[in-house]
Amino acid sequence: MTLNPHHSNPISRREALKLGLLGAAGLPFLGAKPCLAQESARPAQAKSVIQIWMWGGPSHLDTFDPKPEAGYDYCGPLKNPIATNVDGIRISESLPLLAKQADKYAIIRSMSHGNNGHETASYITQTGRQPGRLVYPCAGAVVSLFKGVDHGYKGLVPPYIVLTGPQGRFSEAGFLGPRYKPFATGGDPNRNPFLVEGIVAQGISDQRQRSRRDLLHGLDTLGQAMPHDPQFQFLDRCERNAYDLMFGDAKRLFDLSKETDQMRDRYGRNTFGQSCLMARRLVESGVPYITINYKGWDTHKRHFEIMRQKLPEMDRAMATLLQDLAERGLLDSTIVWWGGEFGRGPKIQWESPWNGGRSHYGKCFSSVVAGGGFKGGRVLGASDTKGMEVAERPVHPRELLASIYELMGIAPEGPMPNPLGLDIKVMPGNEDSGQACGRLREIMA
Amino acid sequence: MTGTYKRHLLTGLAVCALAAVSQAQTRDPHIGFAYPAGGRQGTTFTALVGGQFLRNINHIHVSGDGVQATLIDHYKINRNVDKEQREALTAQLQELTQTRWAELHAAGIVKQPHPPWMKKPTPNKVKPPAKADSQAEKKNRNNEKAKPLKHPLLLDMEDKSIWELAHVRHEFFADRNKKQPNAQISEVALIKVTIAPDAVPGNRELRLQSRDELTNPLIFQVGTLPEVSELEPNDPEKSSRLPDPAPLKLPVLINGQVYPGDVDCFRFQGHRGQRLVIDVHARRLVPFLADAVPGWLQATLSLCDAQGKEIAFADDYRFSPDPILLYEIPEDGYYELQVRDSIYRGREDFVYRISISEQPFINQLFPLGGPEGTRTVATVSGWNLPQSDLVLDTEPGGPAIRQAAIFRNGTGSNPVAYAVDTLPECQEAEPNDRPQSKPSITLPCIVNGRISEPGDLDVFSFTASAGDEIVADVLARRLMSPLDSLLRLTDASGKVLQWNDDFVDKKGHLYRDMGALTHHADSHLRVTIPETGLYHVQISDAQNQGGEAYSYRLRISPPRPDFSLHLTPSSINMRAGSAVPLQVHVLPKDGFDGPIELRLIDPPAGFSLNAATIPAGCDRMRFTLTASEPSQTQAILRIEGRALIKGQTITRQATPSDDVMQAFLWRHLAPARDLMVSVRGKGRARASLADSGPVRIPAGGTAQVRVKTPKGKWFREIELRLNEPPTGISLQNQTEIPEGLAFDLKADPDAVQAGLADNLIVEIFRQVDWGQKDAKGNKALKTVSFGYLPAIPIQITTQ
Repeated sequence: MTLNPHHSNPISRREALKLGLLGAAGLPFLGAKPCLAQESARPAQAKSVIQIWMWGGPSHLDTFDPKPEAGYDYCGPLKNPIATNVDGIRISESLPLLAKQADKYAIIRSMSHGNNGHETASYITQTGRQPGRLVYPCAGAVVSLFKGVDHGYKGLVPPYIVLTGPQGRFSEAGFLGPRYKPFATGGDPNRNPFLVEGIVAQGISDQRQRSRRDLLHGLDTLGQAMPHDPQFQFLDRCERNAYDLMFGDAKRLFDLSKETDQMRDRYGRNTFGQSCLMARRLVESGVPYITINYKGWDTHKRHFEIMRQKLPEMDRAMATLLQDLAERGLLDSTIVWWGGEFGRGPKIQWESPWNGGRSHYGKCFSSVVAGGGFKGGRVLGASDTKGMEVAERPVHPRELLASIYELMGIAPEGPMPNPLGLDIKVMPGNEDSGQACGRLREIMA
Repeated sequence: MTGTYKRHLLTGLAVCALAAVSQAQTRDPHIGFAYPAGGRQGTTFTALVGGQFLRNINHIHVSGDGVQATLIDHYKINRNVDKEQREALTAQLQELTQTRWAELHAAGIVKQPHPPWMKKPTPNKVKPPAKADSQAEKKNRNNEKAKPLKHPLLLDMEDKSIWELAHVRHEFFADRNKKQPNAQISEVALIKVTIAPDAVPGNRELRLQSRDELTNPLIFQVGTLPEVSELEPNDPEKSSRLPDPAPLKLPVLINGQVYPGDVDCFRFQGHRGQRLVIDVHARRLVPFLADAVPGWLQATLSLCDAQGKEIAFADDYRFSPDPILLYEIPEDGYYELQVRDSIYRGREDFVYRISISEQPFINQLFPLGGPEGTRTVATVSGWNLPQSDLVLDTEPGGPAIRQAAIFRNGTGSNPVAYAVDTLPECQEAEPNDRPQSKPSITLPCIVNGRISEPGDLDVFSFTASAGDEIVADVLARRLMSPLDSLLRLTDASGKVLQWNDDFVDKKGHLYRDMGALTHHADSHLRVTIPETGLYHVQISDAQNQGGEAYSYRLRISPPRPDFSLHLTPSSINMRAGSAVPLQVHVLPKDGFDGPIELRLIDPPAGFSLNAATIPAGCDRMRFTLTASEPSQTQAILRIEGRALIKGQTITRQATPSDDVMQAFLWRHLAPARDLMVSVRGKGRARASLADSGPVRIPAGGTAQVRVKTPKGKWFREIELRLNEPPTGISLQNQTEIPEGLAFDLKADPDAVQAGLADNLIVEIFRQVDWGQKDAKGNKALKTVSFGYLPAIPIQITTQ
């Protein structure tokens, strides 16, 4: 299900400029309402979020919630979890580098929303809401709304960046509209150069691009004849912004060759590794929300073969990211959020057609948070002996999101501007019980 | 194999005749497609059956009479063609293509004596002696070195036509070939099928048997039309270098497979006035795919004229995903039919059969049934029909839902479904689109009606007394009517007491209503009448559609408690002397909630059921089938359920079915024709429960179960585990007793409630020395399943 197909594509650089995302246009319907949420917010502990979106749903048993006692039908070959640098916490044997960084992150082993469909589960996990009449914005768009250009963000690049491919499952901006869509870079940061959509182009030199611009101006007779027309003035302003992106500091920001080879190697010379490095650079430049869409976790088939390939890659990049952020003094102000739309079925599907796969599993799964006010070296909640059920402290995605918002200085109980003018909170309470939305206080500083 | 392992294994098998099944359970042979998925009466042909774990096929079963099949060979399809193999195959194809081309030239079909894109052969010219290590010599050497490719398409290469050779080339070398490997259909059995001239047309079930283990069943059709199979490349944009193949002669049945991005085109000669029925069987062959969305081949049909202009298109037929085109040919000429997947997916199990003929085709039947034992004549309309009425067989004793067809010149129409019931029936009389002030029907009654036009509303009025229970049940979609019914029950004042759109029996992600329907459109109401008076049942179409075909049967009556049973799986593999678990689903009707006793109907000697009483109110239960010195190694079993309803014993035969997945999530009970069992060995059952009757476990307490086993070390070393037990039940304290073994069943008071009645399945495990050592040099023992104990009935009691 695509909740809003009209808004399913993230905004391109060109669209972003047209929509005034970089500071040109006003708010379509929001007025000053975003400020209301800000006014009641606690002081921000975090300035940025790096969301590592485990696209497709990672197996909780094979990452941060191993269950070796459950037997082969649950663990398969990954049956020897390893200790971490925090007593009593063990994680998958395939994550030895992350095991050495466990003091920096908290594992939530009792995430649950009960939905097994990619689209709906992605929506619930990233908006905290059940699908309904309105399409709500995901966390990145909410942060962009409250911490973006409307609130003094003057970064080189848009405040909500996606590395590298768009989400596609639903509209990230929801009813907030295209102004709060993420800027998806496209390209591959592991390639040289990293071809960023609309900013760095393959085989076109800066000189050639400037020549094209001159040629375009020569052909623009209508614009020349009407130099004072507001529409043409607006387009000119957009164009200037675009070329600032293409030839200015933004281009240098995306240039990973500015990093040492040693640093690039530490992250791993692969798309995910270099995306993590790119995310760190974006955090350094002040971008408040970065999503790394990490594909390949929908492992219905060949699950363990894929785990053998991907877990070491994830381990290296994520462990380095945490360490690098900490070394640069950025971890205290940067939330790293790891998780997908759900976990994967604890019981391995050995039968045909899966032949050793894992199914979707929204009843019980894990998320990991680090930095920005989240305490490291903690485990929140627990699953049962086979990872099938939440055994302790169930956590709904809205609680995790509300905690992230609070640490970012966004009041979850504050008003959320919406096109219908409804009285909506940034993050609702329990829609069934009516209780206010909880926080993960146990792991919040 | 080490001596220790051999000794343990042999001892185990000899003593208790239980099979090691831990791996076997997941390595059971299974099949995903047959291509072609059927054949014509009176023909012999080869077919490919794709699946997994098919290496040791020793028998092929086709249900019904008149169809025999034998194995020719087994192939593990390998897509990696190395350089030497490629060169060898290219050379062979080139040589054979030149030969076939020359034959076409001799027959005057092509003008050029040689394929214009190939280098002309120079047989008369004396070849200069090849230099050492010349390219040609290298190539020859490579060809000699090439390990022969083993693929069913490469058989009988000498006999292939030039188009068949192109098909082979396409299969191996086409750059557009985007086939992806799918392990579950990566093996192929090439089988030879012989269909007797008098074999009854229709659907059969095909099962392979590998190492005496049966696969799941697949639909395999017996047809009456001449058949052809597609030959690639046949995409519309392909400019073939070959002469066009002869146009298809009608009538014809085309077999094909759709691959990624594939569009298959077929040219035929049409004659003005032909009223063609173009019927695609695709979803009807493979109803559900677990790992594809939406879960089947969603075929589209496009008919183009000689100029390539599309003149007709279909991507479904009413609510069925399989398209049907009804088209009258406007003028003589060539026409082209194109078929593809609606979103250009494809793989080996995207198999289709398309008939192009002037067969009779019924698109509406009215009424949709009649009273049992009463002559009922239905009116029919459609395409190429020789008559407008059809006598329905209502003989007592038959199934409640039956099928009928119309024949013209020996060719049968599409089968249409109708119902036979014992209640009084009537037909709606228009105008009836508003409530009446007096009763229009008397209960109980089945009203045969139709929503004759969009917006039509049929209202039936009746009197009922306070406290009466009334059921209103629509039977329409289940009889292939396009109606998507909506029912409302109102009182005399117009107040809606209850309404229903779709009535679905669904547990979690499992749809338990049988069949391939995914939209359970028939409505159902059950109300207790609040006060004596006049009431109205309104029926309409939920999508505001209507027409001649939107027929229904609406039963309004007191509840008629009844049930149907569905049994999974439909192929059972077991070892003689052991038990094997089966699952029965109970679909209660009109509030039935009594116990049901299961029994085998006329079973072959040696087969018996264990713990086969379904407790009252239970909608799903596992029990076991035991084969003790069975008289047959393969058998078709029938199981029936008996229940006492209103003082009468009601017997219903269980429908064999398979729990199949659709599109990664949803599951369905797909019906099968036969419940087949395959038994390995001849042993007799050795493990049995010492006590009869249910084991009563106090909530929060334990109860002991004693199992009789032969004496000896083998059974002393087994470990018993519960297999998928109800929540809160656990097994503990396994001990030896004089009769054999004993263990305790414990009921967790927080997870179970007193009154729970169910069966427990206990699996037997044992550690086996596989001759391997672990990292420390110790024996690496492997825990292996050796089958199941007979099912144990339990009841949870108060402490």
